[in-house]
Amino acid sequence: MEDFEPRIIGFLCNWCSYAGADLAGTSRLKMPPNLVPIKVMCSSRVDPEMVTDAFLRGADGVLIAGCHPGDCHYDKGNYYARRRFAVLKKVVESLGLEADRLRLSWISASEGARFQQVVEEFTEKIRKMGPNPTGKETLL
Amino acid sequence: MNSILIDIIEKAMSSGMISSVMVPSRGPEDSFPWTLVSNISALQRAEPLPPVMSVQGAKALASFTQSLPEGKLLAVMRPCEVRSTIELSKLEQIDLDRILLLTMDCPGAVPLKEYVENGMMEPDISSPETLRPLCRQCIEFTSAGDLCLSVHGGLHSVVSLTARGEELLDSLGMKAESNTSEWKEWANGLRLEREKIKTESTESLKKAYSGLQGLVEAFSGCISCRSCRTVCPICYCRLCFIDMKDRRSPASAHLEHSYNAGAARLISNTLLFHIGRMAHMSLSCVSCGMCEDACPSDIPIGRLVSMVSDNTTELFDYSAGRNPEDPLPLNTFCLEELHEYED
Ligand code: SF4
Ligand code: SF4
Ligand code: SF4
Ligand code: FES
Repeated sequence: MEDFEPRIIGFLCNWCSYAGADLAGTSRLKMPPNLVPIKVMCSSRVDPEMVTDAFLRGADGVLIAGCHPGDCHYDKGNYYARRRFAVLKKVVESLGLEADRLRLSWISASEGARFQQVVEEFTEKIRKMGPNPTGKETLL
Repeated sequence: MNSILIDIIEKAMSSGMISSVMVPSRGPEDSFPWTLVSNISALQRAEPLPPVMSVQGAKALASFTQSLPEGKLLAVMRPCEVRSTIELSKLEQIDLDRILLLTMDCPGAVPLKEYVENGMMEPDISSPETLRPLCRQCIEFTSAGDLCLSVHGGLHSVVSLTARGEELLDSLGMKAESNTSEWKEWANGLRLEREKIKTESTESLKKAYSGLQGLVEAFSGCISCRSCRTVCPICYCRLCFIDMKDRRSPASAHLEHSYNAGAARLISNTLLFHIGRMAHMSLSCVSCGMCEDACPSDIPIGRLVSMVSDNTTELFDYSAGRNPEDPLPLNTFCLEELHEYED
């Protein structure tokens, strides 16, 4: 699997994680190019079916990133997001699918370096897991 | 109909304690549609525990009770229907304020398809093979709602389960049964048997349908009719995510998948529908088996959702329909929890 380049979808909240990603960029931190960012207004905007959709369409990993607990721009969105994410992971796990391809991380607007680290770590983990078999499945 | 039940209803109606009753009634061709009965004489056709489940009782209740004009309503339902009623009240689809819930030791129901093919048949609580798959493994076959009519363990009387139930009986000059130990013993015994069946069934379900290949196999026959969702009491959304216009993938997405995989299924998104649905509603699934009964393709959809539900509810120590006071897990949170889910 030498030439496998993971494709990771990242749902980044506008107020923290997207800004953190921006900071990583303007600080010229070196990062693997594997994450395709999608800006959402809050981590709680991410309906589990959006994550499921990305997963079933062959995304090798899906990241949801939002403000640290206590810092959500809308006060409590990320607490709700955490519950929904846990539920989705349980569903995926219960069905015997690879729950490790899903990740939830808190990254603030000032944490450019943490953004870099999360993307690096997650990309490496997914690289080890190999391509998501959903990408090659005809009867989804 | 059971004589105690008739007694309760007649007294409650003539004293004005309740103004109507929701109960299945015998229709033509051995059918049992739900009816809203406001006249005692119409009770003759009532059939509280028909052999098949036609429409889920909570769904029938939600179809008209969001704003009851006046009076109190007594709903006579199976335990799983009562539990989904409680879930629907939390989801703001039913207003429980003026509804009393009466349930009974449930004998289970026979599979709808067999019933339609063979005509009249009766479920037999002691022979699981006569029951629908989810009835066979049902461990909450009694005691839900305000009152429970019990006919097992030597009992033939009504047990009150809430203050509201007690109140109703009091005002009718009736006494709730207090000597319930034998009946409880009966229930515990059956529960143990059912738990065994459930464990075995879950194991074989997992073996057959786990992982991507397993799921593809499970759902390859799915005809995307969405009957499972339509008959489910919990799926009340007017517009389901899967039917949203912007949900439809563009042709390019189908083509891309087809290029990558060699071919792509049409209609697409079968697994997305089922997994997305489980992520939305499994916390409130009451394992009533309606979905599986309705599936024209014999997909074990009820057993699958129910299995997933056991795992998702465990996260929050939640049990669908158990307690009207327990908040829906997705409508609340704790500051410190689920840290194992964040990296
Ligand atoms: S998913 Fe099926 S078993 Fe669960 S509540 Fe809905 S209809 Fe009943
Ligand atoms: S699957 Fe989700 S969106 Fe669709 S009806 Fe059920 S709960 Fe609503
Ligand atoms: S009822 Fe059966 S065939 Fe129809 S959508 Fe549900 S699982 Fe598929
Ligand atoms: S705004 Fe960032 S998580 Fe809610």
